[in-house]
Amino acid sequence: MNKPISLRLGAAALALFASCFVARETTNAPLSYEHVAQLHPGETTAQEVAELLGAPSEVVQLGFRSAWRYNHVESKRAGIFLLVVTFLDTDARSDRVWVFFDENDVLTNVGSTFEADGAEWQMPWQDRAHGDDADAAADSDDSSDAAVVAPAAIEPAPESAQ
Amino acid sequence: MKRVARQLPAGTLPAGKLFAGTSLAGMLVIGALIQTSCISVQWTRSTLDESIPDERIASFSIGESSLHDALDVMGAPLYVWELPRGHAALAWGWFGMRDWGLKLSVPTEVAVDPSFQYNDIDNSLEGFVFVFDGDERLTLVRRGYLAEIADDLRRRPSFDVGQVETQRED
Repeated sequence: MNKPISLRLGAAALALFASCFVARETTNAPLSYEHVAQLHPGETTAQEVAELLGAPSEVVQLGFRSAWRYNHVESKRAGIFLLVVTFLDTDARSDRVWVFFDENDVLTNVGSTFEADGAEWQMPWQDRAHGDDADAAADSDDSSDAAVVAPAAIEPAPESAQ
Repeated sequence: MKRVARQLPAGTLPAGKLFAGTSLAGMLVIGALIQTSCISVQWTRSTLDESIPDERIASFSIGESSLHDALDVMGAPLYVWELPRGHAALAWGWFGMRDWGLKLSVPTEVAVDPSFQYNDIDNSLEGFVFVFDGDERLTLVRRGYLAEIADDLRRRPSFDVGQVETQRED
């Protein structure tokens, strides 16, 4: 086997063995911002919430009160395989709504986050449009243990002054 | 074009000679082994949701801020837990990892799904945990790994304002 043929074989093998993929995974149906805007604390009942948003993904009992979770997760994965080198990237973003009810099943609070549309197909070396939390986590020394937040950020009540 | 001979370390064969005695079948076997991903170098990055900067919690005050304030500023939490004495914990979390690694594996029929599950608090999730009393007043804020904070909170007998810690733990 002479050298040019070896080179061609090598190039062909590289082309054959290289592969890539993109994948998209969703959990639950997307949440509607318009539906969430129709929820009014002090007025909307649990039954009305169920009619508007459907069955919740989770119900948490808080004494006589309760909280319901609705969520939709959008996960995008991309990868390239080059012989023995693999590049993989996963970006998962979610829409979440938590609704809190009092003991009479009347809505008291609503918390909503809509970020699922921000999920991106990228390679590991590309910067996220919404900021790279992977880098932030790697650079942060404080993330290694649980900690009470700095006093400058949270003011204790007067009786808890130490 | 002028060719320059490269000096290879002792015991190293030039690529041409290295594969000179290797049959096509042999090369295909080697290629197949590589292709089955028995050995691979991986560069991976995984992110789940956006991190919340510490600055965002600067507006909260222990004993004053309410559940409504927290939801308004922080959005929907990842978890809500019931705690003793009518307290509730809300956790906002995120995950970010970027890593190089050498992977040596033997393919099996058992697949592991790395996706996030709400049922268990993943050990790698970072974030903030806010604790509210029965009147929905903020009594405690902690930052760190959610699983560790959750374990700690579940062991604590109470969450009175007087027990709020203000120093960073070592």
